[in-house]
Amino acid sequence: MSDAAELSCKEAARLMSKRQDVALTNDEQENLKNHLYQCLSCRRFEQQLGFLRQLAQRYSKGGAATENEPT
Amino acid sequence: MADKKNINPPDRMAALFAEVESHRGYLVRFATAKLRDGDQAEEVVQEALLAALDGVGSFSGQSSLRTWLTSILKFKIIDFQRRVIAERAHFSQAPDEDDSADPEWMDRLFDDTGHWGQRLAEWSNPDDALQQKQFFEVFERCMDKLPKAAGRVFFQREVMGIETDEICKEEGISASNCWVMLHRARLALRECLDRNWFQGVKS
Repeated sequence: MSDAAELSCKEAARLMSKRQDVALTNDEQENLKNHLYQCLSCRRFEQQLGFLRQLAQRYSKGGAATENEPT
Repeated sequence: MADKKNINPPDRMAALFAEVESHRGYLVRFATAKLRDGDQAEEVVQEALLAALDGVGSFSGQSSLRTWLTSILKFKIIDFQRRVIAERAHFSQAPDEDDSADPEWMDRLFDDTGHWGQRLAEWSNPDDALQQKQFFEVFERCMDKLPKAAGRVFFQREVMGIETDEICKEEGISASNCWVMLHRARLALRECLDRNWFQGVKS
């Protein structure tokens, strides 16, 4: 427990963003997990980041309409 | 006497024109992310749309129209880049003017202790937003507000799905700089969508 760094939200947000692009180190993962466990805002940020990615991918396929792909 | 029932094909053509045209905004953003120049992007998109209308018979409808148009655009971009390189052996890129515009901007989202300045609200019905045309318009406006370089990097990473390594190489920036830009873009977009969409959606 002594070597686990307490992350601030700012650092946690940076790691979550970085995780969208590359794998985190074990320490980073552990610290982030501990932070998310106790921080509601950061858990929301995590969800919203995921949504942002989903949104961008949907956008690349045509946006709301996504034509020619009947639902 | 000419059969008046023949007015149908031109109508279909007009509808198709309109539909193809509705993707122009997306395609210009796509081309801008690649070419870094809005005017050049417009020019290439124009070429691509003309080619698309010319060859619309080969559109199978198996992918979405946007995906098909994008594939044509990609070829046109490569063509264009070859032409430019051939024209000027020295293809020096203009340095990016803007990314230093507001470096403290990101810090204002967090207080002195590194906590969120404001607690993040949950986004209600995000799946519902994905069905709405207006939501994508808000998304486009939010992307347009990003600093140019950050917008380009975000578009390449998230919309085009290119790996960070490749983007950094093309942009000529370090990996850590690339992440900083992406992170800022994501924070800014989150804010923008939050303010311009989700805070208005209650239910």
